[in-house]
Amino acid sequence: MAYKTNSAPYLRTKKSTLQIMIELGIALAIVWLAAVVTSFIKLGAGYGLKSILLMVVALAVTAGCDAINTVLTNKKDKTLLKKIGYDVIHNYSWITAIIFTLCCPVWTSYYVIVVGSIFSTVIAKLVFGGFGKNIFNPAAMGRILVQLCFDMSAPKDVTAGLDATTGATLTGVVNSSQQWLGSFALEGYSMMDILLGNYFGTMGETFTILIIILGVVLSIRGVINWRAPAFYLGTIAVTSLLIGLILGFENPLLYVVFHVGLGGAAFGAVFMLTDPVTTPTSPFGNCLVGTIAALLTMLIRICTNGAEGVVYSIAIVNMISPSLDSLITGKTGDKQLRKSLVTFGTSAATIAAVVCAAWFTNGGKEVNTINGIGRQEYDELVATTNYGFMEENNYEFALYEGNTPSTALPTVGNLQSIYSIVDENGNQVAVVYSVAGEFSIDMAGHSSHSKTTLLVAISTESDKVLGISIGKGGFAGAAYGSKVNEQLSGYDYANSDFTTDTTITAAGNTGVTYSMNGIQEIVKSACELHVSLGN
Amino acid sequence: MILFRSVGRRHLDGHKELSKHSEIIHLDSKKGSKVYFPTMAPNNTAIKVLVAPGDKVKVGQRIAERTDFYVPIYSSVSGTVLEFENVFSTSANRPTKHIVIESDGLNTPSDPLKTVTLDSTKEEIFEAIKEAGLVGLGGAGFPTYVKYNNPKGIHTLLVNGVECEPFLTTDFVTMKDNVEDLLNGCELLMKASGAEKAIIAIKVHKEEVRDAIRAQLDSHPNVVVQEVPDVYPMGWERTLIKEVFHKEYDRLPGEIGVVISNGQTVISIGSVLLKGHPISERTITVSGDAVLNPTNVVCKIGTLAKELIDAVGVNHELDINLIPGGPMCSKAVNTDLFPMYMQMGALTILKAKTYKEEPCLRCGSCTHHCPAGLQPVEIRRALKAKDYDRMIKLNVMSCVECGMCSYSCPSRIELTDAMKNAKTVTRFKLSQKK
Repeated sequence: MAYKTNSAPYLRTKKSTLQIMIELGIALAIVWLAAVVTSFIKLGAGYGLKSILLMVVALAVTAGCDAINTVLTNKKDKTLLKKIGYDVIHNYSWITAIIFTLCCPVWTSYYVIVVGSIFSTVIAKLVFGGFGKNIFNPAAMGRILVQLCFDMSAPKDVTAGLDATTGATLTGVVNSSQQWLGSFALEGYSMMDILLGNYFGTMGETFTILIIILGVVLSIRGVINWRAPAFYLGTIAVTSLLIGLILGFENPLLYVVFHVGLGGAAFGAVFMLTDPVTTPTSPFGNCLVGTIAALLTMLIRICTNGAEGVVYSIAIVNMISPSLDSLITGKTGDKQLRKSLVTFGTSAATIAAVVCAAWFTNGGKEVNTINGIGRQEYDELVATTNYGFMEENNYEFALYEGNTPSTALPTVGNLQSIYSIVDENGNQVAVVYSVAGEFSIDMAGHSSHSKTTLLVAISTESDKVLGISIGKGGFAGAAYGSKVNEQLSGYDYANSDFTTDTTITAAGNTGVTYSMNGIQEIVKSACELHVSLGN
Repeated sequence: MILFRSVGRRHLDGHKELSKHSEIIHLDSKKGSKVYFPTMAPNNTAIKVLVAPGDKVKVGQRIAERTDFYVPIYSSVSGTVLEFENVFSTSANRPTKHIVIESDGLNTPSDPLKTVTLDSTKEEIFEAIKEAGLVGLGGAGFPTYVKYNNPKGIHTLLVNGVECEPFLTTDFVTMKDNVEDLLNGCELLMKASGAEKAIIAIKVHKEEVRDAIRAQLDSHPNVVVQEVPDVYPMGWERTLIKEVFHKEYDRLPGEIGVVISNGQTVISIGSVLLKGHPISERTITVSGDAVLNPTNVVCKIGTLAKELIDAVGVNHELDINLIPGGPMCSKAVNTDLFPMYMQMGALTILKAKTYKEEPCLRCGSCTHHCPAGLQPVEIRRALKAKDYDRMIKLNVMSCVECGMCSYSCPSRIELTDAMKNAKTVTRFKLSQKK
């Protein structure tokens, strides 16, 4: 027996850092499993297997980086093997690898994953001195690198097979077509689709509800601090709700879901913003980074229209975390309340600034929405859509100011919005109905079933269809310049025998012919609506 | 707002069942056994010794006086004063000179002190507390009478029977068996402090104590029992006052009209002031996972710890931590040859464990659980960076070394050690500035 005099206290909590990381790993594995299952079901066995292999590659590469680092820094150590094993586990790079892989879409190439893993482990972590000493969230750094360096858009076999409308991911579409500010085409995706993850995005980001549930469980188990994610998602929700209300969206709540659900906001909040190493330690500091990151995310989304608002904002708050730690000194008691009031007053002012930014980005006009959030953005409509008859007569697009329907179109299609076409004197000569619907397209021999939007222009004088354009955002709009067909001009809906398959030709791409089944249904619906509104 | 404030407390596995209901061992002072009294007070000031080697003393005879505060020290046995010896002092954390008294086994009492009754005046009670030589029996050892020196604006006496350190049951056992003395002590202290009511705070799950006290409350209408959550460090006076009164104070509880005393101190006041015999015995919990028969031991004040350890039995094959006090706050010592002072209520003996330290992951667990609302992780960083101004800004001197930061650290970092070092450095820097 010997009396040991090691340090007090002599009782320690059972919870260890390793246990925290393992629990976090289990939560991430659940998200990953959901992604694997989704890939198998929606994209087939090939992509299903790839979603597994990508993770294996990332884990192997990070483990290799850690092992090499240990060998290089402990050359003469006799227990090198043991040390390598310890370092690979206790550097917790495997968590980085899992988060990084879940931040990439399933169609990412293997070499992209390898490069990103090496960057996030070596440059973003080991160079700073390993676990606990890095400044930036390593996974966020890896994601930013591959985003900047490689093409992350979806390959043809993913888009043509399933998702012709949404070129890359739903986020990508929203991003590429300047639609973070409200007027995006959800085209067939419901609120529940967004929340449950029934769309394509990066592997981990789509399962919003699952991620939030995991976040709650992890918070209760004390693995993550709930403050940063709660304040992050809360601030995003409040800001987007305010934007929705002030810009006059018909369904601001859906707009909130849109901002919280898309672009990996929930994933970033629960798994990246809670990384203890790169965020402040005090409770107040955690609330603060959540709020700041959310405001940055909203600014990036609205002012630059960037899909990567989440990772960029996390990287930026990582930078200011040490400053926040220095700022918050002294007791974490009521005296900080005054400080916090000032800070959150400033935050409220910033929220107001973001909303103002949204207002001005939108050109200072109220958004004329119909049928929820599906507003075709007027400016873009003017820029990309052009009917032949408009050029001939010097007609222009204008905001529609007539009767609006109370419900969506029956049977097929979903009315997104209505616009006017006016003559030189400003008199309305035609009404443009933007209708989302499903139909099959035969595109130069490749047949596919698609969801997209048709813009049907109907004359107010003669009740004739003046022109049909395939909506923006879809491949037709994006890839072929949006100047589509003229052939249906002059169609008289009143004396319709519109039953055969219709062939239309892209105006900017002569020689490519699309044959579209089901288009007539949508045109019919638009015509019926036209009559029912009394235009 | 709880959003921005740290929780500052946490439930610990108390292990109280080990010694809660075990049979109490009485260590009588046999002929030839020795007791030890320090010649140096906890704050390193000298103690005036009133006896010389060879003198005969009786139980309750005054043998020394503290010089910084007036605190008389009474012998706990009757017998002969021997040559002074150097033995380990837990309050000084090094061997210091001690008065040694060899017992004659008779326990002959000396003349009793001047007693008071429940009807005595405020001044009489105060004088009696002063003469009784009582110090805070919760472990701090601060002279009790100082708090009751004609305080102003006190409305409540708070009796701290929380006992939040794991393994300790001495307050539980003593309060359960001495309810009458406890309530008399409350009445006396209420009178001395001018308080209108007394609140006896005990943890939940101490139904026996609660019921025993409540059974006798009919004759004491101004005393109530309040149960507080089973969390650590509920027994620290700031945490307790915040829980009971929902108020915080700057330096002393008197600022919000509260005076606080440990439960056993109140019991001693009840018995010593009414009966006139200074306390010579104390109940000490000897518990821990290395103890064979964990229980409470009643022994003479000044008995060597070795006698208590031998009485309960210890697993001799293990490396152990011998901790004079609870396992959270107290520091293990490397010898069992040290006397049990009046304020020491426990010996915790645990299997020695070693922890492998990992890098700090900055999870903020220490900040979150610090009862003083400090940021240990930041203080440790400031200490590493030798940034003394920042340590002062971080209020490091408010640390009470409760051990919570080290306990809750998932990376097993010795934060409490860092806090102690930071305090030492800061104290030095502050004294230089003056």
